[in-house]
Amino acid sequence: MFSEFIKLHFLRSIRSVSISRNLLGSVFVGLFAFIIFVYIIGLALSMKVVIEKVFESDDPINYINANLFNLFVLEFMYRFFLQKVPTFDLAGFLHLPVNRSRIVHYLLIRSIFSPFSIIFLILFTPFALSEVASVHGIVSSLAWLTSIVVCSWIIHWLVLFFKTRYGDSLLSVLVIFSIGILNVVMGYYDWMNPGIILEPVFAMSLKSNWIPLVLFTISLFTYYQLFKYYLKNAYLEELTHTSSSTYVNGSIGFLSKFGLIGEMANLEWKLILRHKKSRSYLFISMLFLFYGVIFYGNPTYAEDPASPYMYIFVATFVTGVFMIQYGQLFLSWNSASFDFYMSRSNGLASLIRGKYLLFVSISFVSFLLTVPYVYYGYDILITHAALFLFNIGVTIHLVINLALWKPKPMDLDKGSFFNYEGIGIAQYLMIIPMVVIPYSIYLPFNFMFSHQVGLAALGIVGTFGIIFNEKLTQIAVNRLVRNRYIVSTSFRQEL
Amino acid sequence: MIKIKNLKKVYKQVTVLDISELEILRNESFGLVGNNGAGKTTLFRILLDLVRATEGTVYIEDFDVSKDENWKKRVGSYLDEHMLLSYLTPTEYFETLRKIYEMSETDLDQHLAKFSGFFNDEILGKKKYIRDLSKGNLKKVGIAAAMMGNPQIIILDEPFENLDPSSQVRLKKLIDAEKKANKTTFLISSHDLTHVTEICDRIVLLEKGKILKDMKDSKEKMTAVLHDYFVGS
Repeated sequence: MFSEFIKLHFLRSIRSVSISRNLLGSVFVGLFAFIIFVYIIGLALSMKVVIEKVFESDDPINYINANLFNLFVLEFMYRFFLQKVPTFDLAGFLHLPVNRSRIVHYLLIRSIFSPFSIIFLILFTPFALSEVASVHGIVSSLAWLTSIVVCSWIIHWLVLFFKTRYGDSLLSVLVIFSIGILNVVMGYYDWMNPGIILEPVFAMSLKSNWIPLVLFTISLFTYYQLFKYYLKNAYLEELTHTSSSTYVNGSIGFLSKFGLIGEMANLEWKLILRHKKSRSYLFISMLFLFYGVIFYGNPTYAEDPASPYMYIFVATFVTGVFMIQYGQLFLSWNSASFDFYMSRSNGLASLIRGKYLLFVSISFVSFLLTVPYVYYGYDILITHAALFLFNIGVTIHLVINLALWKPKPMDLDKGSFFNYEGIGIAQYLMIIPMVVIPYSIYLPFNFMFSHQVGLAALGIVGTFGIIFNEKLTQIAVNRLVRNRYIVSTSFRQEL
Repeated sequence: MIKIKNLKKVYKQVTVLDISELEILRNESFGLVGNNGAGKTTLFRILLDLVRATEGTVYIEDFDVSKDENWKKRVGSYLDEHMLLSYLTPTEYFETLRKIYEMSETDLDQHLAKFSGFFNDEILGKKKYIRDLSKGNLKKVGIAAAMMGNPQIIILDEPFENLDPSSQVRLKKLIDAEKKANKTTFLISSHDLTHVTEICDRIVLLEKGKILKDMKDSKEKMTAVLHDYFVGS
C-alpha cells in the first residue's frame, strides 16, 4: 500500500499543473535551490575557517554547540515558511477503504523526506568527520552528528504541528518573526546567548554516546503526538483551512465618486483585502515604504555625490511599489471572474480603468505616507514628488501594457512565498523599463543642466502622462479587447 | 432576435460545433439538449462572445456579437462561476450589478423580492462570500443575477443542476412569470428532460456539434422523441 502511495505521489509531482504550465518559474526556483545547495556545501567544507576567522573563536566545536539553538530557531523559521503541510493530500485518500492511521503515517513519514531534512546533515558531516573526530574520536563525532540531525527532525514535527494548528495566518507569521528577532537581539546585545539552553546536550553527546538515543526517543514521542493530533483531526474541514474565510468590509468611500470606474476600483480593493496572495502583496508594499530608510538614513550614502542618481530608483519604488508589485500580475488577479467582465458592456474597459484609478489612489497614499522622509532633506521630497508624477503618468502604463502580454491564471488563496503562479517572461523583464526609462529622461537633463532640471523633466513628462491618461489607458483597453478570447480561454484553463 | 449563420468551432482539428443556420425568435423558450460534449456550452459561450467562433457569425438583433457590445445590456446570462465575483457576498454582488445596470435601490429590492422563496433565506444578508457557498446556492445567485436589469434574452446553462427539488419547481415558476411579464426569450440547456420539455416550446437536440433535431411540437411528442434518443426504445 505504501509503495502505491509513493507511486501516486511521484505521478502527481511530474504531472503537476504548475510545473508544466510554468516552466520558467520552476527553472528559476530550481536554479535558486541549486545556488543555496552550493552555498551550503561551501560553508560545510570551510566551517572551521569561517568560525575561526569570521566569528573569531578558537574553539570551533564549542562555538557550534553554543550556537546550535540559534540555528534551530532559524530552521524553524525557514521550514515554517517554505514547507508545505502534508494534509493537502489527505482529501484524495480519506474516502477510500484504507486505514486512517495508515494514511496519516504515510503522509507524515513522507513529509520528512524533504531537502530541508538533510541540510544539517550536509552542513555538519565534513566538520564532524574531520574536526570533531580528530579531537573526540570517530564514535563520538558520529554521536554528535546524529544528535544534531535528530534535533532537526524534532523541529520538523514541531513545525508541522504549529503550522497545522495555527495556519500561516498573519498572527502566526508575526509570532515566528518576533521569536526570530528576539533571538537575534538577545545575542546582539550580549544579554544572554539563547544557545546555552541546548549547549550542554551537544557537549554531552561528545562524551556519552547514548545522547542520540535519548533525542531519538524525544523525536519519536513528538512524532507520536503529532500523529495522534492528525488522526484525531483527519477530517477535511479541520485540517484544510479552505472554507473558512471571515468577512472583511472595505469600501473606499471617495472612489464611488467616479461612477462605474470607481465601483470597479472598489471591487478590486475588496479583492485585494479578501485573498491571501493579494493581501501579502499589499503587506510587502507597506514594508517597502521603509525602503528609503536604508538609503536616506545611511551616512555613507548621504555623503556620496552619486547618491542623487540612486535616489531616483529608490523614489520609484517607495512611491510606486504597489502598482509595480501588484500591477505586474495585472489581469491574473481577475482570472477567476474574467467572464464576468467579458459579459458586461464596456466591462473590460472599466476593469482596466478601475485598476488604473486604484493604482493612482494607492500611489498617492504612498506618496503622502512617505512625506516624512523630508526629515532627510527637501531634495528627497522633491525627488519623491517628481517620481510620483512620473509613476502615475508613465510607469503605470508601462506596467499595465507589459502585464497584458500573455497573462496567466492563478489561485489567489495560496500564499505568495515562492509562489510563481501567474509569473511569465513579461514579469521577469518588467523591471528593466521600470529602471531604465526614468533614467533615460533624467540623465540627459541632469548632464545638460542640473539635478533639479532632471527632476523637473521627470515631473513634466509625468504630468503630460496624467493629462493624456484617457488616451494612454485606451491603448491597453484596445489591446485587451483584441486579445479577449485568448485571455479568457487561458483563464478558464481549457487549453 | 438571435440569428446564427454558418457557425463553426474547431479545437485542435476537431469540430465541436457546426451549425449552418439557426434563428431564435422573440419570446421563444428555446431548450438545448444533448449528451456530454455535444457542444451546448460552447454554443452559449459563442453566443455571448466569450469564445471566438472559427467561422460564421452570431447576430443578436442584427448586431454581430463579436463586433458590437450594445447587445450585452439586453442579455442576461449565467453559465458558470467564472461569471460571478467569488470574493463578494451575494448582497454585495447584487449591489455591484445594480450600479452596473444603473438600477435604483427600489428596483433591486423588487427584483430580489421575486427570489425570496427561491433563496430560502440562505443567500441575502449573510456575511459569507460567494466562493464559500454550496453549488446549489451559487447557481441561485447566478440565476438571480442573470435576470437582473430586465434583459430581453436570458441564457442559462444547466439551471436545474445542483438545485433541490423544491428550488427546481420554484425556478420553473420564476421563468414562467418572467416570460409572461416581459416576453423574455429564454435559452436553456439541460440534461433534465422533464423540466426542459415543460418550460420550452422549442427544443434543439445537438449531437457532436450538429443539430440533429429541431422540434416545435407538442410537449408529449417532444418528450417521446427525446426519450427515444436518450434512453432508446
